[in-house]
Amino acid sequence: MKEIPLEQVQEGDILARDLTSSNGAVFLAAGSILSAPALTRLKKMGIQNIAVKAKNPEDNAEAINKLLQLLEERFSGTENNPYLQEIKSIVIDHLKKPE
Amino acid sequence: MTEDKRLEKIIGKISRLPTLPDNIQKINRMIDSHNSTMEAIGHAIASDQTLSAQVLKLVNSGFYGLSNTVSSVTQAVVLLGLNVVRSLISTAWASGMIVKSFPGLYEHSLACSRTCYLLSKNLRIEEPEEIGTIGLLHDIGKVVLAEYLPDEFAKIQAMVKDKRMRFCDAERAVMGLAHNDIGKWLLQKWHLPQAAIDPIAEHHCFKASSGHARRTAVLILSDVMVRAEGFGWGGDNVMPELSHEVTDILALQPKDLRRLMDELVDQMHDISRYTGDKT
Repeated sequence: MKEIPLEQVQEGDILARDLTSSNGAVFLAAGSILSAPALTRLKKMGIQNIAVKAKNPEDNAEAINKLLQLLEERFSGTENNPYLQEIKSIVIDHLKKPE
Repeated sequence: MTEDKRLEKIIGKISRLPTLPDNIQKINRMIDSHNSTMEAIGHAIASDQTLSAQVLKLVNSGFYGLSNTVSSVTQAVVLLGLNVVRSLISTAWASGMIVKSFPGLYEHSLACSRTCYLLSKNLRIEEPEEIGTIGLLHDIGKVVLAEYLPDEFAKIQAMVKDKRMRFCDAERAVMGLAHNDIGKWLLQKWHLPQAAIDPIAEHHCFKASSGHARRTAVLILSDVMVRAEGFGWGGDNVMPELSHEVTDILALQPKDLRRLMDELVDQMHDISRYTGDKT
């Protein structure tokens, strides 16, 4: 699950992972709906990136496809290297992991 | 231009590399003198608020993440030792330049630092924090390139894009040398310990027989993993080489990689929280 910059988060997005302060305390739990005031508060706190659940499965699928394309490009020409091929399949699994 | 003339020109431009500012040189002298206590050094760093904030941020993002935050500079000095702190101070000072001149590289370097640290601990290699700082600085040569060799940098970027080359291969085609060589010059100028410089110098020309081959291998493998996962930007979208010599020296089989990378991704999710804020 990747994090996105706060500016790209939309009102109504759902927080995908607990937000913790530097001592480990959770100040906003996963599942919270991010209202406009909440987003402003997070911005004031200096938070830069957060993980949000994708609203549409299609949005998510499109993002993943783009990342998979980049991955294919990155690994092209490495077919004869068993280590790189194994790393490639691990990264694909990480990308496809359900949120 | 002949190759010799080309190299001369590059070296001439690089000789104007920045020296570290006075306060940092003073702290480095304190460290080198072996006469100052850790407390005194911690105090000297802490007296520069910006520097100490940057150092702490690096400590926590480069090694420990949120699970084990280090909150004071003296604590960092005691935990990490002076060699590591020395590298961190230089990186902290350079971080503004890194972020400005090569977008994405800072994120890549932080991720590499954390990966070097985690891999070293996992493979029970000594001084994982030192190896972490090696990960942090390994691409500093690219920053020098971007800042001080703009014509060459532009040509290299064009080659990477048009011919789908690796950044280091394009560097060698344009300049006759690459960022690992430039990095070595800069870090020697900054008087970093040779044990930190050598793996960086060799991360694109691995020698299994060299004295620090295991550290270099960790650096190379970390770079590969971080590039594969797409953390940050190293200058190209082409996987670096990963020879069996590197994996042999670490005694790793392909099947060992999954466990390592699963753990890595778990530990990496908080890294972007540190890289958003560019101070």
